[in-house]
Amino acid sequence: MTTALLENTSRDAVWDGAVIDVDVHANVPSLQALYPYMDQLWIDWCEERGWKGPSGAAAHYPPKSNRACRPEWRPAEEAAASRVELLREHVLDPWKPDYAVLNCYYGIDSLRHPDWASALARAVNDWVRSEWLDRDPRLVASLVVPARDPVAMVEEIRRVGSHPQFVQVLLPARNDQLWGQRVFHPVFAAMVEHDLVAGLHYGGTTEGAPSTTGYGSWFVEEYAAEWQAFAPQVTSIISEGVLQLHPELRVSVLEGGFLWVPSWGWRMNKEWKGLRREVPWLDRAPLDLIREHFRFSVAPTDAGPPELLAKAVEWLRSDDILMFATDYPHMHDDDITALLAAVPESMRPKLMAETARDWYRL
Amino acid sequence: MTVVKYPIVDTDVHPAMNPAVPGVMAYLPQRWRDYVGEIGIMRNFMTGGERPRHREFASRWDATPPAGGAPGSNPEFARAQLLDQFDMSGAMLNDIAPIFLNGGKHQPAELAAAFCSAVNDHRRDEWLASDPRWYGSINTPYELPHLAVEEIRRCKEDMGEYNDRWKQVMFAPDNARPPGHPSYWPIYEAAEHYGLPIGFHVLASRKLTSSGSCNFYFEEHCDWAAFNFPLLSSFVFEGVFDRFPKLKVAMIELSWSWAIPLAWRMDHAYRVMKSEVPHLQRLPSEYIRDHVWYSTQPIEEPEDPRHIDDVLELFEVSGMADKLMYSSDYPHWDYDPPSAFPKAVSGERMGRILGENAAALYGIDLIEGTGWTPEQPAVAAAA
Repeated sequence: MTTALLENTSRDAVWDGAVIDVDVHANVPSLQALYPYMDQLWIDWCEERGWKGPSGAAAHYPPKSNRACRPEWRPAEEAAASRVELLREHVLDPWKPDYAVLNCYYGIDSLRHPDWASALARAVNDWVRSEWLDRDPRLVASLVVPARDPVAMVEEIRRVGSHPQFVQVLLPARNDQLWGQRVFHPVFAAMVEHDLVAGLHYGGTTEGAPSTTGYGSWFVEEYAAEWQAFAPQVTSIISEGVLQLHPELRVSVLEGGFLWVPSWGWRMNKEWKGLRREVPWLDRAPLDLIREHFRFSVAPTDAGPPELLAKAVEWLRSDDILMFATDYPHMHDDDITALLAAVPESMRPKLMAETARDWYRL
Repeated sequence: MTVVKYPIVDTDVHPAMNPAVPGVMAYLPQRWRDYVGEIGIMRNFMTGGERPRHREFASRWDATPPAGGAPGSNPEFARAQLLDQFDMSGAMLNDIAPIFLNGGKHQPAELAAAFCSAVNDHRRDEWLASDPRWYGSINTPYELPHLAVEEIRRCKEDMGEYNDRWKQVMFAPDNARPPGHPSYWPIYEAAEHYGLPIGFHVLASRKLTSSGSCNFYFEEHCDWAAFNFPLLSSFVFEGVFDRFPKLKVAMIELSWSWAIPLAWRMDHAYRVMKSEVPHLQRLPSEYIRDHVWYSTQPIEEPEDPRHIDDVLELFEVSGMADKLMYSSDYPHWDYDPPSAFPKAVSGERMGRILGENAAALYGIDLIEGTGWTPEQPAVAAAA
């Protein structure tokens, strides 16, 4: 069974308590859909150049693939997940979540012009606000930022970050620079100032090789290996002392899996014991910082056999670290029933809703 | 009471890394000795930036030979401090300098080949000749596959009594292209022909993460474990193990508790995107189960010591009990003696991990009656 779809079952049969979905997607159907939210200058630029929008989204989610949209959720005549009505039909109505966290990954990072990229980020945020947030009170969202320009990032956070339905800033997992580095510290300060979560999410720059070992051949090869983008970002944020500068900072890891966390954290703890003189601000073991400052969505779960999955969850040593997500409309073959069976009973309501409710202050 | 001894194979020992020592240079043709004298041999090799180690060579203080020289520069001293100390059956010599050079980065092609040959010749004459328990990993200019194949052939066919002491072909985990790419297949064909595993040893000089370089050695040391993901993903999805069904891959100093969760993840990715890769004959986890080995250092240290048993059990129930191999990483600072394993690790597991698995992979004979026992005082651990 692939539970996000609720085929042959009902939401209450899967889980009869509260649900909060921390990762659903809004797709910009076309660049023209953003025109109402752009100054005429940028509309002219798009039109004169015949530009169809950033290529990054299709690079990370090939539009016709299962990765971009589960076949059952693919509308006949329009872009997947491009209207709030589709989200209602596929997720909000069947799953009855108290809230869903909406993420719009539009691949802004593939556009280089700094002013144009900022204008595009503003347009996406205003489109999300008008066409999604204003139309369904169950939705809260991430705001997007132009990742190469920390000053513009801070400006955009100040411009829309106080809206009560913006709860998070989307930081693509792949970036020109690791997010913990000092050039981004003012951005984290702005997030904390606006009580926003940092949402480390699948996707990011399309420049340079997507891995430490050059350009892969296959899309599935890149997707399967993408823990490589998330794990060093977590390590960067911890190593650079961002959490000591901002003890209130919360970071969500979205669409990045979580089974890598124990193994990765054990290694960080061990290296910290041996090498902490180099990072003297790190006053606690990295895994303790992860449990306090990071949360992980469970789509994808990447689950193995149930009895082994239970062990891998136990290694996290926290009831509070995982958050339910459908990752609508992306396809996974996760079985949330199996995951719930693999976690302690006390963890289930937290995983399905309560951790996210606290985390996002819902 | 009989004392149980476990025969030991150490799968990761490092001769001194400086490639420009006169001993190695003596094996270069005059043309390249002159070139190296003028331009150097590792010009601009740290393209991922520098994070100086907390000690020169990242070595143990006590590994400096009493007669002088860098740690790992004296085979006799290394023998006493490692092979004799733990009564080992064998140890694999894994060179660092060719890894930093990424099989020929920033070198003229001919120099890259000549340099790898020089290192291999020096290791044969200085190390392999000094004790029959030293075994070699072949250094090759692997970004130039036709030259790499020739070097493998030379080591396995032209070195007389030493032909069989070469047990592996060495790669760094940051190839110019993902290592499953067909451009490297001639090397795998040669490796399969000679029955040699392909070893990937940690270290990067090309690119540290998919989001650029990190700033601290602490951070780098953590991030190394991320090399595994694109590396194995490439081997699996390119179909390398269908093309070369006898090929074996050893992941050295790249940690190992990630391996089974990664196999699960690859299975999920495969199920979602199967239509893209109809050439695969099996599930990704099956290729990983049958074709990939791991060295143990730095030994995993879960927060709750009981979880090391979980990880070992996961390997066993996943059909990978024969895939973990002890390594010391001598003479580096984060060296693990055989006593690094938690006391809870059972006798049967200890036997497999400390010697049997590596002996089977590399074809190294375990020497009967030799080895290490948990009863032995942990002299080296205190050293």
